[in-house]
Amino acid sequence: MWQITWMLGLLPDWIWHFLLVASVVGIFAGTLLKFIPFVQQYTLPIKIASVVLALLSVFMEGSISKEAEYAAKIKELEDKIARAEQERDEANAKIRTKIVEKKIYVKQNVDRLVNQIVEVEKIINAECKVPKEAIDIINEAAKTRQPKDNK
Amino acid sequence: MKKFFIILLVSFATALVLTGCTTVPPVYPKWPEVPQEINTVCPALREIEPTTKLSDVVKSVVENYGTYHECRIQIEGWIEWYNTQKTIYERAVAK
Repeated sequence: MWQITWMLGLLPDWIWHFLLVASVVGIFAGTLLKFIPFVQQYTLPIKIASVVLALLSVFMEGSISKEAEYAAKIKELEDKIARAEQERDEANAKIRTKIVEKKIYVKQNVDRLVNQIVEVEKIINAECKVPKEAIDIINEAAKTRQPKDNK
Repeated sequence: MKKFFIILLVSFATALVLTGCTTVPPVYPKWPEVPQEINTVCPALREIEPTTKLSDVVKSVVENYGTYHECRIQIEGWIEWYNTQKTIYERAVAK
């Protein structure tokens, strides 16, 4: 069905406006012509053709107005989406900057603390010797284990 | 004559009901890109080299804390990214 509508839609809009007017005129002409001798034999074919044409024109007129309505709707949606895309790009840029700044701060903090450890290394190591078992436990805690690994 | 006009009227009504049976092409926003800064896996925690020095242990612990904080920042970034994008999306598709 849509293929037929699509093919008919290829015709310019003014043709359908013209055909609608012509078919309405045809319907009335069909009624009036029956009073004229010699021509009255053509009234029925004229009436039938006009009605068929009028139906088709009304359908296509509706289709044209719907198409215009949908085109406006699509344009509106596309504008909204374009605005949203711009907004999300700006939001992404903000998040990116924030994360980079925070990570730099963390790195600087770690570096500062590591330097501090180096400065007071002798004090830290003076009264404590770490047993191998303690290191094994810490390393074990640092590992990411899957549930099956513990079985 | 009356019959003809009734048929005509019914036919017009049918045509009007069926008028413009077309479909709207779907218009969807594209899936938003995730910033590379948050779209990375958190690194594994650092293990301590065999040592007896407490300073080496403390150093590793401090570095692991740093790794945790970086990972936390990434997770916070994901949450913020999701909430922001959701708000923008909902605003865009709202009627």
